[in-house]
Amino acid sequence: MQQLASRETEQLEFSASNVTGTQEMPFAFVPGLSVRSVTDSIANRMALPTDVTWTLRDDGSSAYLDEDAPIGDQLERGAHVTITPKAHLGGSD
Amino acid sequence: MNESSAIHTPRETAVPTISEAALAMRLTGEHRGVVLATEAVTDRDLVDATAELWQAGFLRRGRADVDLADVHAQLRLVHRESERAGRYCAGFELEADEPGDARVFFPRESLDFVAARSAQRLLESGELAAGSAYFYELGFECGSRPGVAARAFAPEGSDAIGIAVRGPEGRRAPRVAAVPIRWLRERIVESADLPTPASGDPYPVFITAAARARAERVSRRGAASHPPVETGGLLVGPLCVCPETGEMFGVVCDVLEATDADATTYSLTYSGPTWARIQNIMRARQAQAATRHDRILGQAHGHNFVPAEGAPPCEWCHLQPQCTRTSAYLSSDDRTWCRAIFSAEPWQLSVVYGLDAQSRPVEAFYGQRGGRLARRSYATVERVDDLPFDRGLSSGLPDPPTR
Repeated sequence: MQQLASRETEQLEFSASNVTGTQEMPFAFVPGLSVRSVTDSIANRMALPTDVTWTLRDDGSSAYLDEDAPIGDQLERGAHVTITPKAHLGGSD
Repeated sequence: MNESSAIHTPRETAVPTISEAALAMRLTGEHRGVVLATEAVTDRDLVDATAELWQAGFLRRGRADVDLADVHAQLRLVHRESERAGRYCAGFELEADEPGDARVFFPRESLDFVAARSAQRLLESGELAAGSAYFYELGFECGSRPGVAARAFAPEGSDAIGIAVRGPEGRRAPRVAAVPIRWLRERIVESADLPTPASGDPYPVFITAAARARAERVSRRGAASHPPVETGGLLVGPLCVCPETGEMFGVVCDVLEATDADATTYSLTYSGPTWARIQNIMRARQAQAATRHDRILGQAHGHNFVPAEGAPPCEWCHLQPQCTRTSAYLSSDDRTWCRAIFSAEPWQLSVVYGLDAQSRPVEAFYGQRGGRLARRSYATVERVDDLPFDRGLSSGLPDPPTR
């Protein structure tokens, strides 16, 4: 088990992909950044639609990351996440 | 499109007073003429349109190795005349810088999500009342002189503007299998009019009879619940390029059921475990020779409810060859989900299984066209266990074992 990155100094390096796996990119962020701001940055870099809210899912645990908490508290160096839309299918209209 | 976008007036039409132009959507209220907001159309809003140009101008013309990031194009507005509306902006056209004859028209409705985004903001701020209608129009928002902050929407002369558009950085060419398309055509068991590049129709799509049956089975599975719920799965198979014609086509070979999803009568939400299972399966398939070209090509799901909340069929229903009231359609939520999941994947497919007013099963198949998901045809083929991968490739990739 690798240690969580130091919040003050080190950059947390990990990779992220979209759900279909057509995009995969390396990222490095200050560990103290909130997951929400990191997610916005990844969505922007991947040029994903702006009218959808995005969230990050840790591929190791399948769990969605807490958007308000720092990324460094939830992800280990070298982890892989999937950026996933907060959207659903549905024939309600 | 940001303000630094290059402006071109290539058709020798001088537009001397316009210093900068940005594509924008203007919203007006129920009383036309009352401007509610002007929303910028961003680079990210144009990704799907650019990807569709990429598919039409490159991927379907034997140039499947071109990265989306390398596609450069000019965007121009397209105006039309109407007796009632006069001259209006019908949409925009993207024309690739090279090859110059690659161009695709996108109706303004293809950017309706930009208007919806602006309307949502107005609703949240109270500037637009819930349930109020609004109208939108597309145009260039232009500065009048350099350094002057005042901007005008679609000023005179802006029709001639072309602005530069390019594919998003890092978006690579898709992995494709080389398969002669005639091999699939010879195995069609249900006739369909297959589109060709010359006609401007969508790219050909084949689906095996087994995958088609499975898509319907998993989509209608939720109909047996009490109350019925939405269920579905993802369409999986290779994206192919014919080494003889250069045409690109998709072959749906399987359907991965969305297990562990959150389902209600009117919604289907893929959960973390749903995605985790699908990704594990896809990685395993892509690690095997016979299925290494498999990718997620689209989605299928069931609207397992009768339309119009169960209202009885209209009195003319028995006289019609087909009941037109149906729950087999893509809802706005479906479209948003597909645009998010399949961003910049113009080969995306969707199928919705539903019921008509007489509770008879119906289906609707969709593909991207003009920047939106539109009804399209497909061909059902026999089993493709011996799909002849990579024949005709100069690299001489070996044929994989049969799946």
